[in-house]
Amino acid sequence: MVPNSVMFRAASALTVAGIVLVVANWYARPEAALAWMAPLAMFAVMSAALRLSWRAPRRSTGNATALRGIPTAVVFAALMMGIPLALSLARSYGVVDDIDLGRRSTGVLIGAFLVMLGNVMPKNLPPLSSMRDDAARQQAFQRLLGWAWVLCGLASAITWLALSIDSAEVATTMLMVIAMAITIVQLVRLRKPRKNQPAAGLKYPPGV
Amino acid sequence: MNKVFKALSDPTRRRVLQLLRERPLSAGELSDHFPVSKPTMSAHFAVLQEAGLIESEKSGRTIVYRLVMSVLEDALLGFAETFGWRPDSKRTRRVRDVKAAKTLAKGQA
Repeated sequence: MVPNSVMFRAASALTVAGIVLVVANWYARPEAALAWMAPLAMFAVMSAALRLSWRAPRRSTGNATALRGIPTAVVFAALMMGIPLALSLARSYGVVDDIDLGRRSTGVLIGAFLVMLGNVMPKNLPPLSSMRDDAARQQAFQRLLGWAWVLCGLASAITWLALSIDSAEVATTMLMVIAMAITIVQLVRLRKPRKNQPAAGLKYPPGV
Repeated sequence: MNKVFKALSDPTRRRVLQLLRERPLSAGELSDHFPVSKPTMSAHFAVLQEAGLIESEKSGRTIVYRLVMSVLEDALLGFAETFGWRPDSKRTRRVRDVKAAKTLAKGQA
């Protein structure tokens, strides 16, 4: 079984493209050799992770869900590194003059990643029977978290597109802090038992 | 995504999702909210499950349903509620009345 093979192929292609970009950058600016070694090492780690995710399901299907996430994560990581590398190469050859374009595109990509992450949060609930607190609260918690991170990601991406670099950095940091504060506050509230909490061991809502 | 749109196109299924937004509910509890037969409700649950919007868990002799909607699907549901069919809207009542009148006329003819 090969989980999410389209994403796997995209991840492989982007990793190869990333390595090619690093080598091209190295060739264009050999004086910054140390700076190119770090992304090269990162791409090597990504390749190793992809290889693991390809092989592991054949040995065991138990952690297939976790492994399915590796190609998606590699796609985003490769894009986050690849776009600045491509822009850096373009700048070396005088094709692009804008220094901030790389930062902007990375910021937009991080926003898109947050949107994707938040989107699936409410879907990844644990089995109903394993919920320690009452299921209604946990469901509400995960829905709120999903919405918070999706909106944070959207706002962050728009910020990087619309505002100046300095303002975008401040605004994105504030957005992240707000989303994290919502997460932490809700997590603390979830751990605190409600006044009319169902009796211990009653995992399902009343009336079931 | 087609399955999601199909699931959200029906007002009964949308109402089921609205009810499940509050808390997980058993099949019986959900059925109590609708004046339709249990097999019909089971068919609706099957469509929702196939679309990946709800999931069920068996507890003894009861089946408990709960929401597993992504944020995008949740937004689509909100969109359908706002711009689509609403149980208490005047337009809906009018459509229902027209349908009932037509059925009655067919029966008399």
